[in-house]
Amino acid sequence: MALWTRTANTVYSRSSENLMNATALSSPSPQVIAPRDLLYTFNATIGPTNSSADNSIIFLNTLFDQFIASGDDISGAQNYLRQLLTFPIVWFQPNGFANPAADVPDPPLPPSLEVTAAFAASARRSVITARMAISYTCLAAGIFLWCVINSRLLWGRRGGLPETS
Amino acid sequence: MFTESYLQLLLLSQVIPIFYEPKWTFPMESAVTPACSTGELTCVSYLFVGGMDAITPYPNRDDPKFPNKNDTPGADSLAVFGERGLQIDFWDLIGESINTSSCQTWATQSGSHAIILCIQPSSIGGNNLIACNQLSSNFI
Repeated sequence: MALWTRTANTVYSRSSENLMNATALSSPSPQVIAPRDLLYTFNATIGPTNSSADNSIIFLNTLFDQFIASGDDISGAQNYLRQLLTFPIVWFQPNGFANPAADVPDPPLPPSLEVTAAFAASARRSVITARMAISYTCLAAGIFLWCVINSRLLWGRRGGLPETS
Repeated sequence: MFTESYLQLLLLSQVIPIFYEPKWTFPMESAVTPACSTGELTCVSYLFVGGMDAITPYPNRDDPKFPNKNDTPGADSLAVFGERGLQIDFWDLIGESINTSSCQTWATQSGSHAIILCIQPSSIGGNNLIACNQLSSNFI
């Protein structure tokens, strides 16, 4: 696994609060996390080694069984490990335990986490990829040329004038 | 600051949905790790942002001090500019081995269950980590 920090313009639904889109992604900047720091967060969460953290350990075993039982053995086990490793990385961030009732960030946050935001009305639209636009244009031009060439050939065979009685 | 039981509850509730949480997880079409773009590795990637409730003041807060739903009844969305997130790329472990000195074990007092977690820097270098885990019930 590798970690990168980057910024994005994000859009949320105000009713469901779901993240709907992330665009204008910045260049990624490598984020280095030492293995001992990750293990430290697991010590804080599961409990120090050899301590009585029985519930967490039994739960993590049960959870692993559920991942295995969910389908493919490899992806199930891999997803378990990946989600387990992601948990402390995502939650132990400066704003991971933000107080939503505060008027100002509580605890205070570094300037790099300041953002601007705007309320907006969403609208549905269709967007096609550049590849599809180019393919469609080439195909349409090809069909048009084929029609023109064939009509010219037919016109030439008939002597240039339509038959009249 | 936070008790061990609170963190345990957080772990138990957040590990399962973390890749599927619609409020702050965004599956990425492409990874940024160089070895992923060359096709050397098969990668999956996610962008994790803070979510609406990590923004202060809370955008849906019903407080006359701040813009709220009543001021903007037609606005069904919130656009956030320059929100910082964390992109995590994952790939299958190929051609690397884990050193057992990188491992840590947690076990129940009775020894009935245990979890072993190994994390170490990848030989690829940079900001890459490799990890593995082993769980055992009836550990005795």
